Amino acid sequence: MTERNAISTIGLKILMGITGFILVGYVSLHMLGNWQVFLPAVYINQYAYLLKSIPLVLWTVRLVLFVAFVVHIWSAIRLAQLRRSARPVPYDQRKPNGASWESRSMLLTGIGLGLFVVFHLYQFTWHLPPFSAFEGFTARLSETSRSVPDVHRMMVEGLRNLWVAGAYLLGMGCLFFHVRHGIDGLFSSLGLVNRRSFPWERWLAHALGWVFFLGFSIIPVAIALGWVR
Amino acid sequence: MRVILRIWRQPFPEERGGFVEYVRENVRPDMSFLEMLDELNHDLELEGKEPIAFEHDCREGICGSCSLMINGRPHGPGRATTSCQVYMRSFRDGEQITVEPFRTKAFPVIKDLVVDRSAFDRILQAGGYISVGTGQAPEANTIPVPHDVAEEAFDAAHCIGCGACVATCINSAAVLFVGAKARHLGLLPQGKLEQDLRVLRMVRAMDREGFGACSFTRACEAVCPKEISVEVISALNRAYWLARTKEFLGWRKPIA
Amino acid sequence: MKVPDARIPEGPIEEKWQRCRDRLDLVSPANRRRMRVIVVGTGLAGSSAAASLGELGYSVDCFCIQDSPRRAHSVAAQGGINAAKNYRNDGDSVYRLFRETIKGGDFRSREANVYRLAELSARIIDQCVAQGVPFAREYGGLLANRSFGGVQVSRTFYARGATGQQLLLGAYGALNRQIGVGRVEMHPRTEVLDLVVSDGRAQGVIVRDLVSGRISAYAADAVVLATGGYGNVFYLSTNGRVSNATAIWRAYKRGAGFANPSFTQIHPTCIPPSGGSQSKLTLMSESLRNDGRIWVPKAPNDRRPPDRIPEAERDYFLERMYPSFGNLVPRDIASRALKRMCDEGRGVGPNGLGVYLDLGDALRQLGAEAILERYGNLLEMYRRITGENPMEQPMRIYPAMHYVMGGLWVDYHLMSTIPGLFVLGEANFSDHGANRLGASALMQGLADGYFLLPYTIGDYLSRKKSGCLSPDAPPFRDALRDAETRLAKLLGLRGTKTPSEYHQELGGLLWRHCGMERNADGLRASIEKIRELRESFWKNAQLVGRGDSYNVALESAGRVADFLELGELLCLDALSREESCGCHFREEYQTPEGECLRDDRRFAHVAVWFFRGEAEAPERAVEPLRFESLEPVARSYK
Repeated sequence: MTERNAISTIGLKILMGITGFILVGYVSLHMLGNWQVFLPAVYINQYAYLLKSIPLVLWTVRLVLFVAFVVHIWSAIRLAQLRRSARPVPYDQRKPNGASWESRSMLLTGIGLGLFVVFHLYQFTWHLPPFSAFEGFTARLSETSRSVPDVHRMMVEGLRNLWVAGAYLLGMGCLFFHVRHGIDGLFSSLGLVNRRSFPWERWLAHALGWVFFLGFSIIPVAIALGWVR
Repeated sequence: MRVILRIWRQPFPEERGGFVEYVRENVRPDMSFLEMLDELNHDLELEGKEPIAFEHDCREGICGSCSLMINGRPHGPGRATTSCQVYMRSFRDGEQITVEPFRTKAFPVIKDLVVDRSAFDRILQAGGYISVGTGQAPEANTIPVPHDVAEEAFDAAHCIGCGACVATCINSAAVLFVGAKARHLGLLPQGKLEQDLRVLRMVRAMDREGFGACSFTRACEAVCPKEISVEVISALNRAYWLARTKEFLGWRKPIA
Repeated sequence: MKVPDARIPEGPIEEKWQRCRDRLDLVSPANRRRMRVIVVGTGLAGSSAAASLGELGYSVDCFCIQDSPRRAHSVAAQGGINAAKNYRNDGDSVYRLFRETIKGGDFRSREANVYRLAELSARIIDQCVAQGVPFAREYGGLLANRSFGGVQVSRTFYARGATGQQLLLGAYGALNRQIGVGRVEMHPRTEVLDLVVSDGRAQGVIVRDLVSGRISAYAADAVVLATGGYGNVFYLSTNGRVSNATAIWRAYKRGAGFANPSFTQIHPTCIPPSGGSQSKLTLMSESLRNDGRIWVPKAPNDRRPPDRIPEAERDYFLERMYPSFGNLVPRDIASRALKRMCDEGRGVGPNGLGVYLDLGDALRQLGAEAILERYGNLLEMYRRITGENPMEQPMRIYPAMHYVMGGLWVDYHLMSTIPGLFVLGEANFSDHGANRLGASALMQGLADGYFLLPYTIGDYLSRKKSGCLSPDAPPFRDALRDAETRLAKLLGLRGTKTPSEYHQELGGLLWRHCGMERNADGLRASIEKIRELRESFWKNAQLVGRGDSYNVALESAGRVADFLELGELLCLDALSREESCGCHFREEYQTPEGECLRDDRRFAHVAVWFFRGEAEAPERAVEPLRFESLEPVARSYK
C-alpha cells in the first residue's frame, strides 16, 4: 500500500468519529424507545414488534451497526498500537496537565462499554442461559391478535436482579464518560471546532453524556424501586 | 532554600539511562531553574564529573531550545512558560524535583536531557512554507489582510517548536505543532493557494516520523508556552479531510 | 597590511547600487549547480542567504550549532524592522532613513552601504509579507507601523513583540523549502572550528559534529559567515547563551580583517541584573519607550516605593536632557544617561542599578487593552522574571550588552579581506557605524541575505576559474590537524577553574572598563589583565568529558578561549580610538555637557585589525570614510 492510500492518523480519527457518531445516533433512538417502558406494557411490546416486522430494515440497521462497531474497535486498536509505539520509554512522572479523566480513559471506558454491549445482547437478544426463560415471555397486543414477545416483562424481570441492574449502571457510567469525551473529539476530528471562547461542542458532549446516563439509568432504578412492574 | 533533584542521566543514546539524585542547598528563589542547573553543573565540573547536558539558548522563552519535563509537566510549573522561564520561587523548600527528557519515539534521547527534535524540521521541510522565491514578492500592501486574521495568524505562528505538546500528549501526537503552522499559513491570503498541498504533505511527514494520533485531551494547549489553541488542530483536521477528499476524488493531482 | 579597496562604485549615491549591480558578472544557471557554497549560521542573514542561493541553483551546505535553524538568536529580536515605505505619510523616505542611520551611527559608517540598505528596506517587507509573516495590521487590512528610538517617523513594522521570531520563521520557511527540494543540505548541531584558506582564497571549513564529536572538512567555492555578534564576550548579555565568536575569530586568525571591534552596543531597556549566578540579561524591547516614560527620583538614595514619590519629585531625565527626542533618544545616549543617574545614586531597585520605565500615563490615555495588544508578551516576560506586575507598578530597567556593530571587515560586495569569504549580518562590521538604531539589525540581516549576497557572490564565483578543492587536499588536512590538536589541548586541561569562571571574569572586566564609558588607564590595565587571564586559562582551566561525544563543556571551553583573545582586541581598539563616538565613549574626550566629542580629522575611518601571529601585536590599518552626501556634524538629539 502506498503512503497516499494508507490511512493517516487523522483519517483514523475521522473514521473513529464517524462510526462513533453512528453508534451515538443509535443509542439515542434506543433510549427513546426504552422510555416506553414507563407506559403500559402494550406500547413497548408493539414498538418491539414493529422494529422486527420488516426483516430488510432490521438487518440493514444491524449490519450498519455491526460494521460501525467493528470499524470503531479496529480503529481503537490501531490507535492504541500507535500510542504504544510512539512512546517506547514511559515517563517516570507525569501529570494529566489539563487533560480530563475521560479523555485519558477512552480505551478503558470503551472496553467497558464493549463488554457491556456483549452482555446486553447476551441477555436481551440471544436469551442465552441463565436468561433462557425470556424466550417464553409472550403477550398479545390486542385481544384478537397473535402473541408477540413480551418485552416489557423481559425488561422488568431482567433488571429486577440487582447484579444485573448494577452491571447496567456500570455500563451507563462507561457510556457517560465515553460519550462526554467522544462527542467532543468527534467535532474536533471533523474540524468543526472553531472558537475556544464558545465551546459549544463541549457543552453538547457533556449534555449528551448526562442525558444518556440519566435516561438509561432511570429504567433499572425505576424497576428496582418498583415504579415499573 | 533546599531542593532534591532527581535527574535523568543517559550518557549515550543506546545506553540505558537512570535517575541520579542531587541535593542542592542555598538555592535562591529569584534564580531561574536553569541557573540552578548551571550551578549544579559548575560544582560537578569542579568535582571532575560530567555536567548534565540540557538544551538552552535564548533563556527568554522564544528560541524553543529548552525542553525539560519537570515533575511530570513539560517546562515545569506555571502557565505559558518555557523551562528557562521557571524560577525557583515556584518550588517549595525541601521539594523533590524530577527532571526527565521529553519522551517520544520521534524525539530520541541524545544525552541526559537533550533530545533530537529534527522530526519537527522534517515536517516543515515537507511543506511548512509559502512557495515564494526571493524577489518575487509584490508590494507589501497589495493584498490587505484583515486585522483580526493577522492577529489570529500570529497566535498560531507564535509556536516556538519546543515539542512540549508532543511531550505531554498521551498519544505523542504532533498535531498542535503541525496545526499551528497549517493555521498560520492557511489563514493568510498569501498562504491559502497551496494549503491543500501543504496540509497533505505535512500530515504525511508527521505520520512518517512516528507521532501518534490526537485524542483531543487538550493537554497540549495547557502546556504550550505560547498558548496555542487546540482550534488549530480542528482547523488542521478540516483542511486535511477537505484536501484528502479532493485528492481521492481526483479533483487535484495526487501528491507523492 | 593595507585594507583592500572597498569597491564602492562611482557616481551619485542614489545610483551606486544600481551601477554596481549592472556591472556584476553572472554565473550561468547550468553552472550554478556545480558551485558549492557554505553558509554558516541560520539567523536572519544566514537563512535568507542559504535559501536565496538555493533558489538560484547553487549547491549549498548550511551549518548551525543549534538543533534546528529556527533557534538562531535572531528569533529573540522583539521590536521591529525598519523600512522606508512612508506608509504613514509622515515624510519618511529612503534618504531620510539613510541620513538617520548615518547620524545614529555617529558618522562612522560607509555612506554607500547605508544608502543601499535604506533603498532595499522596502523590498524586505514585501518579501516577508509574501512569505506569510503576520505583521501587525490596521483595521483596514494594511500594514501598521510604530516609531522607534532615535527616529521621528513611524517606519517600524512589527509582529507584536516577536518580530524577530516571525521574520526568522519566514526565512526558515524559505530555507526549509530549499532543504526539501535538496538544494540546501542542512547540518544542524555542527560547529565551525576553523576556516580553510589556501591560494589566498577561502576554500572551506573544518566542522565538529556536536553529537558524535566527529571533526570533518567541507570544501566549497565560497564561504559565507553569518554567525552573529560576539556580545557574549561580556559574559552577561542579551545574546543567546550559545552565540559565540569562534567562526569569525578563526577567520580573523586566518587573515580576515576585523573592523571596529570596540563598537559594542549597550541597550538601555533591559531587566536589571539580579546578581549571583545570573546567566543572562533579558532585553525589554525598546518599543516600550514609545509609551513608557523613564524617570528616577530627584533626590539621591530615595528608597520610597514608586507610587509614593509624587510627580514633582520625579526626574524624567531623558525628557529634560533631550527635549526634542525625549524618551526616544538613540540607545547609546539613553544607556549613558541611565548609567549616570545610577552613578549619582539615584538608581532604584535592590542594588540601585535601575531606573523606572513607567507605562502609567499610557495606561491612562490608551487603556490597558491597547497596551496589552502592543506589549503583552513583554510585560508578561517582565512579570515572570521579576515577580512584579508592570500594569500596576513601573518597570525597572538597566542597560545591558546587546549588539555589536564591529565585526569582520567587508567591502561593498560583503566580501572580507580573504577572497571568497563573505560575511553577513551582525558578524560583519556592518552599516551601523558606532551605534545602531533600533529595528535596523533585522533590516540589515535580511538585506544582506536576500538582496545583496545572491548578487555579489555570483560576481566572485563567475571570476573563479578553478573548481573547489577536495576535502582531502593538504590545506584541509593541515587545518583538521590544527583543530584536533587544539581540542586535545582543551581536553587535557586539568586545572581547578571552570572555563565559565574565566568567562565571567573576562566579562566583568570588559563591562567595567570597555563598556559604556572607557578611559585609557582602565583599558591598558584590562589588556594586561586579559593576557594574564588567558595565560592562566591554558594552565589552570579544567575540563571534563571526552571529545568523541556530546560535550557541552568542551564546546564552551573552546568559545571562551576565543573570547579571551577577542577581549584583548576589543580593548586595543577602544584604546587606539582616541575620540568619543556613538557607543564608544572615552571619558577623556567629551563635551562640557558630557556628550561625545568626535575627532573627525583623526578618526573618520574604520579601524581594521589584522592578525600577525600569536606572539605579535595585531596590526591596525584604516579605511578612511568619505562623506559625499552628508556633512558630518555633531550629533544632537536635544
